[in-house]
Formats: sequence, structure tokens, C-alpha cells
Amino acid sequence: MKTFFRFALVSTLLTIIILSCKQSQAIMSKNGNELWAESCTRCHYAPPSVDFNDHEWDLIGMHMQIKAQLTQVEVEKIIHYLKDTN
Amino acid sequence: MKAITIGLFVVLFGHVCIIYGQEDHLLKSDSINKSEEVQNQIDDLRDHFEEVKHGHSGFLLTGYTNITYRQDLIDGENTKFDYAGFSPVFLWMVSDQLFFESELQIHMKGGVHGGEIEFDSNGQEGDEGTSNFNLGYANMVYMTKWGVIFSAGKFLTPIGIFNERYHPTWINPLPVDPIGIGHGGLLPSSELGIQVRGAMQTGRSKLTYSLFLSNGPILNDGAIHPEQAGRLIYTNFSDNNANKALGGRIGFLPLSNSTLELGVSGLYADKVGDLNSIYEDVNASIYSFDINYYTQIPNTGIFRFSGQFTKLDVGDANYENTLLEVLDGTPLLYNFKNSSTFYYAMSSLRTSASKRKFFKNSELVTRYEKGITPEHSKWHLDEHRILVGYVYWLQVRSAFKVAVAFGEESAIYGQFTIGL
Repeated sequence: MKTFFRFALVSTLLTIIILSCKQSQAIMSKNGNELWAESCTRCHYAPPSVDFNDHEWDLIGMHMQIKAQLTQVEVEKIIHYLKDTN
Repeated sequence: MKAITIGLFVVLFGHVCIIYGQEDHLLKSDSINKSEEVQNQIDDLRDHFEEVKHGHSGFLLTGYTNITYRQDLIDGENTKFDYAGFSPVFLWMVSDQLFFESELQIHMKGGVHGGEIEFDSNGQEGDEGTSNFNLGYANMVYMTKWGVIFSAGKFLTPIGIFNERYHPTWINPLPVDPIGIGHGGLLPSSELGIQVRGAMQTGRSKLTYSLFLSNGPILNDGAIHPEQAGRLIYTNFSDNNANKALGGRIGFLPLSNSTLELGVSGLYADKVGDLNSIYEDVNASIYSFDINYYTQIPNTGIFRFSGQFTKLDVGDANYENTLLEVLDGTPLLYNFKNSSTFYYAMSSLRTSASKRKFFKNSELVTRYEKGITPEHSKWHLDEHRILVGYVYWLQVRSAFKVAVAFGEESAIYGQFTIGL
């Protein structure tokens, strides 16, 4: 049984590492607007960009990267979009 | 005559040239003055911008506040504004990589975040009517350029999904937290220690991870509060032994639009009893499974479902009854299987696609929750609750909520919350 669990764990880790090497084109091509709507709504309704200024969005972006566990690319695109439209 | 005419023409032409030249000079000079004026204004604006623009560091004060009303449905004993609180959140960016975040919870003792009963560090119910300060979290963060986040301090326990994501009242769609969750609850809400966390794209799906090392829980051995013997305390501030708790959470978001998240999390502490006591080697473990899903229903709105199942096990130990109980004939020592289970399932529908403002801002919520603590302990609990609620969103982070709770303690709750 232990061998099975070890095998399952190693296989899962290897799969994750291999999959991590190549990000899907569909994901990479998403813009900040799409990511803002998708990521915020995971926990709460997406706040409009005019609620905060550029500087405040930078801080909120870091806070959300920690809390909601967003990737670096997601945060950069979302904050760029919010700063462009506020 | 011809010579006179030519002479007059030359004189006239000369005058015209002189006048034109003077006007041209005046125009040029006027234009230069205007340009200088504009330039000066630009310089002034630039100076002003330099004065007010933010450097790499920055600070933001945000947070949330709420007031909660509760009325018992059966005996009507509790008919009161149960809770009022303000939770400022401080965000401080030192550089692109260094960050500090903290949440203070200032509230009336006797009620907590969602209006549940507040317990102090020994599991005793707090005094009502007094203000209470609580440091929710104070987290120093270092972010690497690869998105791996290292943090140290007091941080929210990443067990299950509710504690980290739904605990602010403007995010939780119901006025109360699920049974067992929340400050003073039977599950941990924060840890004092170090953590590494982050997220990675794995093809079309996404993986999130949190791993922490903390002081961990403390076993209440019943020496001071015998009615709480065997219960875990999560004060975090003073470690009662050299052992540390290890825990974490793995989240998997299989869909490319991140609408579904599945999580597995846990904590293990090899020793939770006081050093050099008979409880020193008692261990504790917590594991949890969670799910969070939302979808946009065409012409209707947003449907959301979330749930969490958490199990808590504490190693075997014998606890002492009180002297009065022993004199009444109860044996001095007693033990029990120290295992607790808490779970909830919540769904909501916001009719945001409606053209009418009232329906657009309305959300219906329902939650089923259950909590079972050890049967032969003095803090035994076997409760379930069904909540049916309505939320009217005034804006994205502010709402009026009303909910009816059916269960062992049926009650009506009302809450007004503002996210700042």
C-alpha cells in the first residue's frame, strides 16, 4: 500500500512539473479584462477599476496575489487592465 | 510723373514691409510669451506631480465594518444588536518584492465576525459589552520574481476555504460563520510562524500551494478550565513546547476559466501538550477538503457553490474530573475519543442579469452546516443548522443581509456590512 502511495505521489509531482513547463496558449492569450472577471469572482464580485487609483491597485494586486494565490502573469495583466481603465 | 509714382510706390511698399515686420515681430513675441507661459505651467504641474507621486513604497488603509442583529425564534431571549465591529486592513508596499499586510479586528466582545459567541484563549465565553481588539493577521511578505511567496508573522490558517477567503463580512454572503469556524471557533483561524505559498499554471489548469510551519495548537488539559479538557486552543502567541505544527493546502483549478477550485489541506502537530506534563506527547491532526465553484447562467446571473469538510483528531489522553464531581462519585479520570467533524455546503444565486435594479442587486443564499465534537467530552456538541438568506448588494462591497437559521438555536439575523 505504501509503495502505491509513493508511486502515486511521485507520478503526480512529475505530471505537475511536466505540465508546468508549457503553459497553454489559451491561458497565455487571455487579457486583463478576462482575468479580472474570472479571478475576482472566485471569491467576490469584481470591483470596478474606478474604485481605486493606480497606486492603490498596485497594493491591492500584491494583497490579492497572496490571498487568492494568483500567478505573477495574472496579477500583472489584471493590474495593467485596471490601471488602464480607471 | 512716372518717377514720382515709382518713388511713392517704393515708399509705400517700404512702410508696408516695416509695419508687417513689426506686426510679425509682435506676433512672434506674443507667441514666445504664450509658449513660455505654457512651459511654466507644465513645469509647475511637473513639480506638483513630483511632489505627490508615489515612489516604490506605498500604503493603503482599507477594511470592512458591520453591525449584526439577532433575534431568537423560539424563546426570544436574544433580541439584540449582537455585534458591531470594524476591521481595518493595512497594506504596506515597501518595494516590488517586500510587502506587509495586517488586519485588526475591533469589535464588541460577546460577538465575533459573524455574530457567533466569542471565546477567549481558554475557551471561555467572553464578557459582553466590552470592546475587543484582536490582531487578525500581521504578515511580512517577500515575493520572488517567479511568484513564490515567502511570509512570516501571523497569517490566516490555510485550512479549508472559508477561513482565508470568506471570513470578511462583505465576502461571506450570510451574517454568520459556519459552525466551528471563526475566531474562538473549534478550528484554527490563524498561525504564528512562516509560510511559503504561490500558484503555477499547469497547462490549462492551475495549481495553488501553501506550506507553513507554526507554533500550532495547544491542548487544554483542563487544569484551569475542566469543562474544556481535551479541546485545542489556537492562541499561537506562546508555544507550550518545542514542537512545531506543519500544515498546508493544495488547491487545484482544473478549468481554464478558474471557476472550479478543489482543495485539500491539513495540519499535523506531534506534540500539543505542555512540556514535561503527562500530556506532552499528545498529538493533533486536522485535515480538510473544500470545493468552490461559480458559473454565469445566461439571462439569470451568477450561481455559486462552496463547501468544506474538516476533521480534527487529538491523541488519547486521560483528563481529570473536578473535586466536586469526584465527591459525587464520578471517577477521577476519564477519557474519550477526541475526534471532531465540521462541514458545510453553501449555494447562492445572484440575479445579476435582470434589467430591474432590485433583482440585479439581489442574491439568495442557503447553507447547510453541521458540527460534531467528542461525545463524552464536557464540550460535546452535535449541531446542525440550515440557513436561508437574502442579500441586497448596495454596491460591490456593501450589502444588507437577512437570514433565518433553523437548527438547535433557530434565530433571525440581520446584518449591514460595508467593505471599504
